[in-house]
Amino acid sequence: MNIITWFIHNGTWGPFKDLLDLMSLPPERTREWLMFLGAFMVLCELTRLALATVFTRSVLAHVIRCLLTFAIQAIVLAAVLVWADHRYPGRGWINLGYALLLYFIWYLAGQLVLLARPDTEGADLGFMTVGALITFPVGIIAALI
Amino acid sequence: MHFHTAIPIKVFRYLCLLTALANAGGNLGMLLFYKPIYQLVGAPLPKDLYSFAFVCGFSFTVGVLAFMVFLAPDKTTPLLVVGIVGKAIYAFFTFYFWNHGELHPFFLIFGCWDAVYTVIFFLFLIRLVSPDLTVLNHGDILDGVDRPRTNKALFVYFSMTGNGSRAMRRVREGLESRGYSVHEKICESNEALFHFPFSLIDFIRIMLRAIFRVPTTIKPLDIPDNHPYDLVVVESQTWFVGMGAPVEAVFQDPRNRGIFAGRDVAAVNVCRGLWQRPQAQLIRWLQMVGGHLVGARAYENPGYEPIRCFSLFFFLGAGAPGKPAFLKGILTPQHISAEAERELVSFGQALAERKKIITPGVPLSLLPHRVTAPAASA
Repeated sequence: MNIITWFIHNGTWGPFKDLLDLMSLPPERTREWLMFLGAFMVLCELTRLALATVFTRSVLAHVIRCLLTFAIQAIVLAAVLVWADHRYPGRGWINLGYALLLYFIWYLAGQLVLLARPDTEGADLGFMTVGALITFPVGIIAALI
Repeated sequence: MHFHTAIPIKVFRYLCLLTALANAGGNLGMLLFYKPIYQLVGAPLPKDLYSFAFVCGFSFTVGVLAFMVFLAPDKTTPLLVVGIVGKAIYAFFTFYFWNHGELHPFFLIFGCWDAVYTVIFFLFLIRLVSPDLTVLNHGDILDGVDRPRTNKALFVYFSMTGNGSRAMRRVREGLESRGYSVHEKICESNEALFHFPFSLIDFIRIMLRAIFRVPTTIKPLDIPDNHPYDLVVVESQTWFVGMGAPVEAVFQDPRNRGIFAGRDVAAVNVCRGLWQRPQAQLIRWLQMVGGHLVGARAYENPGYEPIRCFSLFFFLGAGAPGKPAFLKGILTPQHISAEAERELVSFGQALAERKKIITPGVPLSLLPHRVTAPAASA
């Protein structure tokens, strides 16, 4: 048991603590978290579109694709807004602006795929709006409280 | 139909060649000349030569991988996945350590390069997967199997809200205008769940089952394997990014496979907006059961997002189109457009007129419509 505790205690947890800190959207590290979240949105959308025509009988691939339609991005951003407002109160409205920017990056990533493949859906503004109905009300409530 | 101009594949190929040269050549150069290069840019020399050489070697390997993709992109699609993961990880660690002040800005060049190439490789991967679907979505009608034509078509489909049946009516119109007779077999689920309008509970159940691909069963189609149809057209609607369960149930029942094996088959998909995956699912099922795919069409409901998406929610919730009444002016139709219907008529006509693959070595006497010598005059 001691060896397990020792192992866990000496693990590389720094990056995860740092990620948690970064996701509180500290104002002095704006460039960092904006790059990270922007990359996250782009990779989610590209993964969604890459899964469109492959692993057609895989339940796992289908569930992941459904979640990437809007749920993962919307819920992650909502959680980030709540966490950020908890750590840096008063920045709620600014963070909502950044969230809108991230939604725009999400849309651009989907539309970029139209350049790559002649038969593709591209960004789905419909479900992105559903996602926005999760992210922004949560962000607004966090900003108001 | 869904087809537009895209970047030619050779652009992606040459971008792969570019990073192949950069990775392979660049890292070789770095190993040989890292001292003068680092001095020139003011970067500190590597503290751990082993790790430095290891990273250069690994990055060189990614260059080789990119070169293989350049040479044969359609055969090396899995390597693109490796490239995406490798370059994304490299870019991530570069920015992570640079943000912590542990990396000289010179290395940002490589981080940015790999971040951009993560996206390029992803786009190339999306382009390369399932190329046969691109051919079909271009509108091509492929040659049919070399078997006698009976000019009889079988439609197999399920339509809960009427959109699918509307689409199939137009395909039927096209086929019949070219001399085909059409027999329809509507899938009937053994479960009472799949009906419209439905309650909120039923909607949630259908939604969860669609997401987790929980199958259903349908009543027997009672179509024998030696049926007279030379063309089978299957239509599916879209339920949460996937094909509808009652249609999928057709293929999940081994007794139905003989309906499709060795026959010309065509796929029709209707949806609100996310048509690609349900189309791919339907086509892969048709191929799996031995069908010879000759054509495919997929159509979205008309209208602009996001109102089109919310119109669907109102339609499903209210159980009828145009409700609530005060929103009637902005809600979009819950069926395919008139233009799509015209295209489906043309699709039916094209299916009727499809050519046949000529099997080499088959005696002329067995080919239909053979050219015979004129009878000698009496």
